[in-house]
Amino acid sequence: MLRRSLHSTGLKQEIWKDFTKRSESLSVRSPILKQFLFHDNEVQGSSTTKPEKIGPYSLRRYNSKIRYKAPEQIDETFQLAYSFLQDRAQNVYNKLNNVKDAIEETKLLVKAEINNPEVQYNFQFSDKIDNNPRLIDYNLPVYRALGLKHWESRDQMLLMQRLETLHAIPDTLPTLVPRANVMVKFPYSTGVNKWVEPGEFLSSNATQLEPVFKIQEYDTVDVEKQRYTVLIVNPDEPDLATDSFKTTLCYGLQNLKLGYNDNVIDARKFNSEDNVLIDYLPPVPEKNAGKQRFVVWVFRQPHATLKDISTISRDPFNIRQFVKLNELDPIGAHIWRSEWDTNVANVREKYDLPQGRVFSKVRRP
Amino acid sequence: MTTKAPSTIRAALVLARTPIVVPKLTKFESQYIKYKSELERRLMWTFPAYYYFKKGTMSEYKFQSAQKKPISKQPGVWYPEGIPDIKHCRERSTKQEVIIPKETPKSDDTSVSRPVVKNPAVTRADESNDLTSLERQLRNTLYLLVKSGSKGEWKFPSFDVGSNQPLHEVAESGIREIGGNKLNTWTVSRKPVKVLNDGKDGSLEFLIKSRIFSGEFVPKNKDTEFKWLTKEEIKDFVNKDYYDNTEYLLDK
Amino acid sequence: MLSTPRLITRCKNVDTSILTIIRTKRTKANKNSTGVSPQMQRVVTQLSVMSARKKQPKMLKLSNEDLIKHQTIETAWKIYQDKLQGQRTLRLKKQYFAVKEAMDTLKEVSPALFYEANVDESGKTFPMELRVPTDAPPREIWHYDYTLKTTET
Repeated sequence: MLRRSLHSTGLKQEIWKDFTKRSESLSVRSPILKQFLFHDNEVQGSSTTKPEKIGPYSLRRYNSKIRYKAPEQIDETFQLAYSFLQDRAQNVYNKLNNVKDAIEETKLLVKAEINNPEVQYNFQFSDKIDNNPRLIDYNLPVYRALGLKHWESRDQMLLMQRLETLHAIPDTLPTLVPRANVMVKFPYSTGVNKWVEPGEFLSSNATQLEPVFKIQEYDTVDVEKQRYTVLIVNPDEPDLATDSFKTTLCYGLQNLKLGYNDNVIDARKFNSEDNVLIDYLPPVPEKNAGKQRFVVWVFRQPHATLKDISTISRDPFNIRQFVKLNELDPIGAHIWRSEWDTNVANVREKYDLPQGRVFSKVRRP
Repeated sequence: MTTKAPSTIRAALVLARTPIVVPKLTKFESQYIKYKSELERRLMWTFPAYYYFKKGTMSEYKFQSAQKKPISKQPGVWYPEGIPDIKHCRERSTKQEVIIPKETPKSDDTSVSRPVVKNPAVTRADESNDLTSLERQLRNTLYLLVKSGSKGEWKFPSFDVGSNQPLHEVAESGIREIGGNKLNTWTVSRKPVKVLNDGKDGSLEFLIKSRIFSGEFVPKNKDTEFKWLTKEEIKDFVNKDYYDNTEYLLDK
Repeated sequence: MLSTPRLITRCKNVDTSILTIIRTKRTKANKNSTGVSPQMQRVVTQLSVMSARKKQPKMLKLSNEDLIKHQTIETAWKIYQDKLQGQRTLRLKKQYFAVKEAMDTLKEVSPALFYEANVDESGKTFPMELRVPTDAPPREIWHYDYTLKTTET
């Protein structure tokens, strides 16, 4: 009886199964998985000979497939829940036709798709950082909303905690309202081939070549026009003249263009003339100078180019003045730490840097 | 009743018969409840039969022989659907079905343990569509609507407030005047739930909520027609303004 | 089993005299018995009803598809309940403003009736005749033969 009633709903519009106007990434990729998700009995019945049909698609081993017992009544209940949610989504899509406001439109687009089980499946069970645009397409507001929620549930809090306990805030910039997920990687034979956790200690060997960034925007921005600036500053450079510390600039990139999916910034993405503000100088902490923080700041630019880059200097660098002059909007940050180790001498040699000083632990008169 | 009183205040009675049978669940509701109860059964602790049936008694034997025995684990056997994990005679990976041994019922059984036969929720009044019966639409709330004379309109019975008699008393005594004393009603509150402004003569009609528990409405005047209607049916009988003003006071 | 007597002696309202373990001679007849008195055995049985040992089912492990299905069902149910709650709240709001309007009008039109309507009703209870809806109707659906008690006196 249930199946018959579901069959009759086939005449009705099924917005979540219609991909003429909706993106392909709003559906699960595998047709077999789709069958299992919707328990399409007719299709399944016609081809029961295939061994994949035995158990859930997501279970890989044959034995675990035949051993698996699904909760009773789950498919019948799911079908009713699905058609209930789909009808609501249909209403939202109908409302969407009359909406002109961009913010309102994004909100409705999220609302229409966030309860779609296929969207949830794609998001929950595929890689959210190195995303496959066929499964998680951050161009779609719904995946951005899910991504933001996921980021806020852990990584954003971790980042803010590290920035605050390590006093990157307010030692570099007064504060940060995090809006974009900034990730850092050193993908070289010397480096660490993973996304660095904020606050981690990295050896000077690992950081000897410039990092690769990934900047994931969750807000609705004009991807074509928006440009970004990235700065890496070290606020722990010893300043003997004032018997204190000063901020130096390690790396500066400007006028970067990002997409929602295509947002990894490496050497292939920019050229030295237009984008490099200042070349990469690897962290070379001096002996006994203590731990040094390297803070990555990502800004949205108000214009296609920076207004005033005359004040840029590597040592010392006034980041607050630079941000104020260029009206930059900080949207994300990252931090790693470095200390003197035995590799520092090698790195200095490679970059033709003078030999580092050795600080004494006892302050001399 | 039809004569215009000098007073412009009237008291109307919204007399309701509350549902006798629980409302029908929607398909989704009943399916969800079914799903959750299946989940609960799956996660339920094993039934401690040894606590309810003393070892070696006849009742224990009857109970145990009514139960389905799970497949037990034997050495050297391959179990394709997983190795049985049995504790206290229960397969731990599935729900436990506790079967109560049933005795064959006799036809002339009058004991309390005889099987329950439910009365149907659709009554004779529903089948004959008798709108004046109190036994119709057991799952819904019914409201009393009256029409006085052939030219009158269907509405809640309303009465003029002459002296400074409280509104609810006017309404309750008024209904007995037109419908007899065989009414067991209970006024929900002395306060009116709604005021209706009659545009024609400028009279104010205060609605008082009341419930009927037993007895029946028997009109004394032959001109007075009455009907017990559900909220949805009221829509077809009263005019649109009247319905829009009162629909949120009415239960399904 | 051995730890149980220790557990019980801590409870104050248990008669400790029944808890003494009587060692009997190991004969063929009582070979299978645990060597505790019947009273003791009853206490042990009753306590073991409440203990989780051996009675818990296996943990429920859902495949990815079923997890998503379960989440969808729960989301749909939550949204459905929210919808119902929203309708209920809206209706209550309308009812509240209707009562307020009626009372305001009554105060204006007739202060005497307004006073009467505001007489304290605290302590008013539901009548005994009020029936709760049941799964199936009773044999006598409606009691017609009602006579007002006050008219008899």
